[in-house]
Amino acid sequence: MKDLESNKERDAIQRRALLSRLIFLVPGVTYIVVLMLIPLGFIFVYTFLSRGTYGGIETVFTLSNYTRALDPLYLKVLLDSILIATITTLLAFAIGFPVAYAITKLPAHRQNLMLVLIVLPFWTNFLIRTYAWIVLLNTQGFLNQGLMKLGVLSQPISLLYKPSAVVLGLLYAYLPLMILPIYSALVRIDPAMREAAVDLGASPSEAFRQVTLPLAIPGVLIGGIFVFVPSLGNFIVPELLGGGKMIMVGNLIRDQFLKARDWPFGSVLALSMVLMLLLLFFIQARINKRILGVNHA
Amino acid sequence: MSSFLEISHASKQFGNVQALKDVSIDIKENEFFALLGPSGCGKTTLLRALAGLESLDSGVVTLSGSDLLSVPANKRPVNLMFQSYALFPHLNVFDNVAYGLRREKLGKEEVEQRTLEVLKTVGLSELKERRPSALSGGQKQRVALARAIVKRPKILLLDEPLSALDKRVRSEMQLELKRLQHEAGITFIIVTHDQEEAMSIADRIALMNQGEVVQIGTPIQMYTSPKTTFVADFIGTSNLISGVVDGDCLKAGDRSIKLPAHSLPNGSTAVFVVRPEDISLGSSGELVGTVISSNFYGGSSVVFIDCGLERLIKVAVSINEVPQVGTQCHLRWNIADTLVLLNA
Amino acid sequence: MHKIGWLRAPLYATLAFLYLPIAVLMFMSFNASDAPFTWTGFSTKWYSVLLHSPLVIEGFKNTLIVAVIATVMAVILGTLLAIGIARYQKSSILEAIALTPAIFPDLALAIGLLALFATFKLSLGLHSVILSHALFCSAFVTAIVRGRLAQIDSSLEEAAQDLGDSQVGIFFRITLPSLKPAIIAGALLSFTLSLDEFVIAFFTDGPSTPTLPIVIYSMVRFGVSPEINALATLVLLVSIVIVIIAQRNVKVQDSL
Repeated sequence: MKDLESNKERDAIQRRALLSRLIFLVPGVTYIVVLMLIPLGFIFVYTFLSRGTYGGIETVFTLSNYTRALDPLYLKVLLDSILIATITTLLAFAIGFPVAYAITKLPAHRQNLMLVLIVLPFWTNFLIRTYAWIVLLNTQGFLNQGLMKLGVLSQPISLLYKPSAVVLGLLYAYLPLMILPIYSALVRIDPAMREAAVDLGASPSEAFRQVTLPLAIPGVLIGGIFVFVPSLGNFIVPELLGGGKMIMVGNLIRDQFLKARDWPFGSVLALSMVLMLLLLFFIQARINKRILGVNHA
Repeated sequence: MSSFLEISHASKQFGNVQALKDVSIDIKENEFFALLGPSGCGKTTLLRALAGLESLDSGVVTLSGSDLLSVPANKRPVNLMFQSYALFPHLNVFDNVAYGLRREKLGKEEVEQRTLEVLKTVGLSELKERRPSALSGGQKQRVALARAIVKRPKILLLDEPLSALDKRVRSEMQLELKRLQHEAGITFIIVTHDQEEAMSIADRIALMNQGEVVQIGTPIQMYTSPKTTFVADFIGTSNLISGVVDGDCLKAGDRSIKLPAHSLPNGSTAVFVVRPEDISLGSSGELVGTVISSNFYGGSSVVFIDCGLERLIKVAVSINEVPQVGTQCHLRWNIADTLVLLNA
Repeated sequence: MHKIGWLRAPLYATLAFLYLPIAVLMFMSFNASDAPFTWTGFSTKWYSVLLHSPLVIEGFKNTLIVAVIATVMAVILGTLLAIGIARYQKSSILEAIALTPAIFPDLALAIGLLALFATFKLSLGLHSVILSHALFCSAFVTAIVRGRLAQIDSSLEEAAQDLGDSQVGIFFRITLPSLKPAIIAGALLSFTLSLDEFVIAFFTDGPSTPTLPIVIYSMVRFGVSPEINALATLVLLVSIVIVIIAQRNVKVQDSL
C-alpha cells in the first residue's frame, strides 16, 4: 500500500516538473519554429518550384532556378556584393579593434558609458542614419561645402552614387557590431596573462601580439560575421547611396520578391546568402577550436 | 657585506591605503624565504614590486649590489609563478614552458633541450602536447613552475602557490618545492597566508601586518621567541593571557600568574604566553580549571579548559590521557618555557 | 600600458564619425528655409508641418500599435524561454535556436515570413508585422534575460523551495522580481527595435497601413527635404531616450 502511494507521489512530482519545463520552453520554441524555421523550410522548397503566371509560386518541380543563378550576370552581382561586404568588414576591423582596445583601457566606470555611446546610434532608425549620409555626401552637401571652404577643393566632387559611398554607409551602420564582440573578448582575458608574458621577458608589443591578440580572435571573428552578413543582405544602402547603378544581392532578392515576383528565383538567392552565413559560422568555429583547443560559444 | 637581495625602506600607497610602510628585508642567496601574513598585509604587493609589475613610491631594492628597480620587468632575472597560474590557453604545455626562453633569442636546439629537461624534472614530459584546459590543478601548477624555472632566474617568486590545491596534494607539493629549490639552487620567495605552510618549508620567514614587517627569523625563532603578541598569536597556537604587571606576577582577572624574568614596568598591560604543548595536567599547578571540550588531531589532542580567564586555555595532551569533560585539572609548566610581552 | 594614451585618438574620432551625421540632421531640422544645404536661420516650422501631415501621423500610430503589442509578446515569449533554458534544459542547441532570430539576416527572415503568410493565405497588415516583430524582438529579450540569469545565484530559488514555497510561488515571488531590471531593459529594447525596424515590416506589411519607417522610406526616396530632418530628429530623440532608460536597468557589459 505504502509503495503504491509513494510511487504515485513520485509520479506526481515528475509530472509537475515536466509541466514546468513545458510551460517555459514550449511557447518560445514553438513560436520560433513556426515563424522562422518553417518559413525557411518553405524558402528551401521554393527553390525547386516554378514561378506562377501572375507571380508567386507554382508547384512544378524544376532546377532552372539554380542554373539561372549561375548565370554570369547574377554571379557578378554576388561577387560584387561579397567584395563590398568584405571591404566593409576589413575597414570595420581596422577601426573597430583599436576602439575596442581603447575602451578596455578606460577606468572601469567609464567603460559602460563609452559602450552605450558606441551602441546608441545603432539602436536608432537605420533609414535615417543612411539618409544623413545623403545630406553629407551630396555635391551641395556639407562635406563638399566644408572641403571647399577649407580650400581643399575648388569644385565639388561627387561622393555619392558610387561603391565607396555604399561601403561608407554600410560601415557606418554596422561598425558598433564589430566593436562590441571584440571588447567582450578583450575584457575576458585574464590580465595575469599579459603580466606573465612580460615577466617571462616579452616586450609590451610582443606581449600584445603573442598573448592579447590571439586570445581576442574569437571576438574578432564574431564581429566579422556580424558585419559581413548584414552588409551582404542590405538593400537600402546600395539603393540610397549607390544610386540605380549599384545592385547587390539584397536588391536582387527584394526585386525578385516584390517587383518581378519570381519567388523561386529570389529564394535561391536568399538561400545562397543563408548558406554563406552557415559557412562563415562553421569556419569561425573551426578557427576557435584551433586557437583555444576547446569549443567556444 | 651586503646581502643577495636587499629591500630598503620600500613604501607603496594605493589611493588611501598604505600597502607597504617602510619595509626593509634582506634575503640570502639560495634561501627559501617566506613572506607571511594575513590578507592585506602587503606581502603580495611586495612580491609584485620585486617582479616589476608594481612600482614603489619610495625605497631601494638591490640584487647582488645593483639596482633592481631601474630594470624593466621583462628584463629582470626574476620570475613570478602566478597564483592563478596564468597559463596561455592558446599554447600547449611545451610552448607555454618554452615561451620565456624564446624571448631570450636562444638557438632553437637549446630552447628545445632545456624545455624538455625541465618538463622531465617536474614530471610532465608525456603531457607536453596538451593544452592547459586539459590539465588538472596540480598539473597546471607544475607547468607554471616549469615555465618560470626554465629561465634559470636568480630569484623565483611564488604567489600563494599551494592555496588552490586540496590538502593531500598540497603536502606533496610542499616537498616537491623544497626539493626543486635545492636542486635548482635558486632563491625562492614564497607569499602565503598559511603559517603552517611557511613554518614547514621556509628557511626564514618575514611576518607582515598592515604593510609593516613585524618580525623576521627562522621558523624556530618565530615560534620560540615571538617579539609581539601579533607574532605569538599568528604563529602556531598559543595561549595568550592578558593582564596587568605586578612585580613578578601578572594579574589577570582574579588570578595571579608568575612571570618569567622581565623588565616591564609595574602597571603596564602585558600578555603572558604559554604554548599548549608546554602545559601538563596534574594535581598541582599555576592554574586550575574545568575541562570544557577536546579536539582530536590524530596523534595528539587539544583540551580546552576554563580557568576563569577571558579565553579558554588550550593544552596539548596525548590521546591516552585526555581527561573527561567536567573534570577539574591543575595546569603547570616550566617557567623557562613561557614569555611575557608588552601588549602592543 | 595600463592607460589609454594615444588610443584616445581613434576612440574619439570614431565617436565623431558615429555622431556627426546625426548632429547635422538635428541641426538642419531647425533650418528656416527649405534649402537643404544652407542655413538660413532658426525655425521650428518643419516640426509643425510634420505634426500636421496625415501620412506621418498614420505611420506613427501604426508603428506605436505594432511596437507595443510586439513588445508584450516578445517579453512573455523571451523571458519564459530564457528561464526555460537556464533552469530546465541547458542545451546549447536550444540557446542557439533561441538567439538565431536576432542574428539571422533580416532579409531572409522577411521573405520567409512573406512565404509563410502567403502559404496560409493570411492577408498582410499590421497583424502580420506584429507577429514578425515579436519573433526577432523575443530573441533580444531572451539574450538579455539569459545574461542576467547567468549572474543570479540559482540557490535563491532552491532556498525558497527548501523553505516550502511552490513552483508557481517561487516564480512570482523570487524569479520574476530578480529579473525585473533585465525584463524592463528587454522590453525597452524590443520597443525601440520595433519602432525603427524597416526591412521585415516592408515585406510583411499591407499597403494601407504603413509603419513610420515605411513612411520615411517613401519620403527619402524622393530626396532630401527638411521635414525628413525634423522627423529624423524626433525619431532619434525617442530612441535615444529609451536606450538610456534601458541602460539604467541593465549594463551593456552584462549582456555581451
